[in-house]
Amino acid sequence: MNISVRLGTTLILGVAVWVSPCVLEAYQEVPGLGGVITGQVTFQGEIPKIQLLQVNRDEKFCGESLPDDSLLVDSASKGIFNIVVNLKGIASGKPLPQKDPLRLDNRGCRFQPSVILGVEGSMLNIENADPVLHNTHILQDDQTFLNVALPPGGRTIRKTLKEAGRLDVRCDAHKFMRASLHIFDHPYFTSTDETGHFELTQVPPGTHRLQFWHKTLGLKELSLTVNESVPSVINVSFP
Amino acid sequence: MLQMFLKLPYGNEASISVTFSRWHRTWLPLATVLLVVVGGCTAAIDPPPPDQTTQEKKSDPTPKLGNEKTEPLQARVKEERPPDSLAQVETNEAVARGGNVYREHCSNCHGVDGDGKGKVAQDLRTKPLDFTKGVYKFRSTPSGDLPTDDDLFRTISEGIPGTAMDSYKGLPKTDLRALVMYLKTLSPRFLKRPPGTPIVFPPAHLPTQEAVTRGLQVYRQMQCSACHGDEARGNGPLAQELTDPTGTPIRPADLTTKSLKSGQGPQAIYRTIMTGLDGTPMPSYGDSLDPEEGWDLALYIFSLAQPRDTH
Repeated sequence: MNISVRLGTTLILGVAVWVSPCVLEAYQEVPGLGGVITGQVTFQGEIPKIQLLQVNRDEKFCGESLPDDSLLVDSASKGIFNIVVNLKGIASGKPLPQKDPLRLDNRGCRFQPSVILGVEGSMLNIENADPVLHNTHILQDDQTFLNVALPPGGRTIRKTLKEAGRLDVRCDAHKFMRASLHIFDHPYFTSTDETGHFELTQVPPGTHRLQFWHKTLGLKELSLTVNESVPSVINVSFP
Repeated sequence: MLQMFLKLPYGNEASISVTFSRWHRTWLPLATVLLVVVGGCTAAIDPPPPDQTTQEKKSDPTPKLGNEKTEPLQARVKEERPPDSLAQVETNEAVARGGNVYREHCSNCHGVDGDGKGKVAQDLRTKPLDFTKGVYKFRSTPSGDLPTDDDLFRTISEGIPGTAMDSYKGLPKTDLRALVMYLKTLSPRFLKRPPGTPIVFPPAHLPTQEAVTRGLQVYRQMQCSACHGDEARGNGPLAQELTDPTGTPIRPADLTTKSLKSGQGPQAIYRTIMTGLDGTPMPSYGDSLDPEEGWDLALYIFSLAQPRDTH
C-alpha cells in the first residue's frame, strides 16, 4: 500500500454540498504527468439480492415489475458497479476532457444509463424511445433543476449543463424510474466497472480529497497523498 | 472581483453560508446589482445553441421560444425593465422599502424570513411559497431558470386564483417593484445566476373552431390526459399518484375551471405549457412543441372554460 491516508474515512449519507463555481476560481489546465489513483470498491457483508420494482403505470408496455439495478455487486469479487469516484475541489491539473454529448434515454421504462458523468458545459441529449409519455425531472436538493416533457415519438431535447453538481433524475409518470447525473468542473472523475475497479490518471502530486458516491449507499470521502512515481492504491468498502 | 466582494463581511467563504441570514439583506442587493453589471455567472442549464446563424435568425419571421443564443445580459435587463422601475428600485433604499411592503402584506403567509412558514401558513390548503429556495412555478423563462422581474411582478399584481394569494394591484407600482427587488434577496440563487431568457409568444390569433380542434389533437398527441384526464378535469390516471419533489401529493389542474393558477388567458396558458411549473410534475413542452402547436393547445384549453352554446 503506497498511500498515506491522513484523515481517515468519513461516511456522509445524503446529498453532497457543492460550492458554487461562481465563488471558486475556474479550473486551470497545467501540463505535467501526474500520478495514478487506482483501486476497488467492494461490498462488505452478504450481497443483497436484486429486488423487483413494482410498475405503477403502463404495465402493458413496461411490464408488471422491473429489476432494481441500482445496486449491482459482482458475486466473485464483491466489487460494486457504478460507484462514482471523483476528486473534490481540485483547481488545476490535466486538460479537461472533450465535451462529448451526454445521453439520457428513456427506454423500456428505464433511464439508460442510470449513472451519467460529464464535465460542465456538456450537452445533455434526452430521448424517449418508448411508446408512452415520460418526463425527465432533474432535481438538485429536491428542487426542480429541469423538467421536460417527453411525449412518445417526440424530439430529442438538448440542454447544455453549465453548472457542476450531483443531480437526481426522475420520471413523475413512472416513479420507479431513477437515475443520477454528475457534472464536474474538473476532469478527475470516473465510475467503477462491473468488478468495482476504478482509475484516475495524471493526478497532480500532493494531497487530495477523494469521494465515492452511490445512490443508496451514500458518500465516502477520504484524504490521500499522491506522488508521481508510485500509483496510489485505494480500496474502499460499503456500507 | 465577486469573491473579494463576498469576503468583505466575514473574511472567508465558509462563513458566507452560515451567516447568510445576518448579512444578506445588507449585502445581497449590492451584490445582485454588481452581478447584473458584470454579468458574472451563467444559468445552470441552457438550451442548445441555435442551428441558424444570427443573420439567418434575423430574416426568419417564425416566432421562437427562447431557445436562441442568450443575448448580452445588459441588453436583456434593459429590455425587461419596465419604464416605471428605473434605477430607483435598484437601490438599497428600494430593497428596504420592499422589505417593509413584505412585512406588512406578505409575511403572515410567507414568513418573516420568506421560508413559507408564516403564522397562518398551516391553515392554508395551498401552502405559501418558500422564497428562500428560489424556485418559481410561474415564469416566462425555460424550466430550471429563474423568473424575470416582470414574472414576479405579474404574480404579485395578479395574485393566484383559487388560492389565498390575493391580487396586490391596489398597491403603488413602485412598492410592487421594490417588493420584487426584496424577494430576490431572499434566495442566494439570484446571486448566482441571472434570470433565464423569456420565451417569445407567437402572434396571437383568435380561438377559431379549427384552432381549437387542432389544439385538441395536440392535447391527445402530447398525452396531457395522462394527468389532466380525457375531459381535462384534472382526473387522469396519474392524478392520484403525483407528488411535488419533496413527496407531497399534488393534483393536476382542472382545466375546465376559470381559476387556473397561472392565469386564464391564452397567453398565460401558453406560458405554462411551454415553460412548465417548476416544483411540480408539470413539465415544459417548449422543446416538444412548435409555437403554433403550443398556441393551438392553449386555445383549446382556453376554450374549455368558456360558456358553451347549448343549442
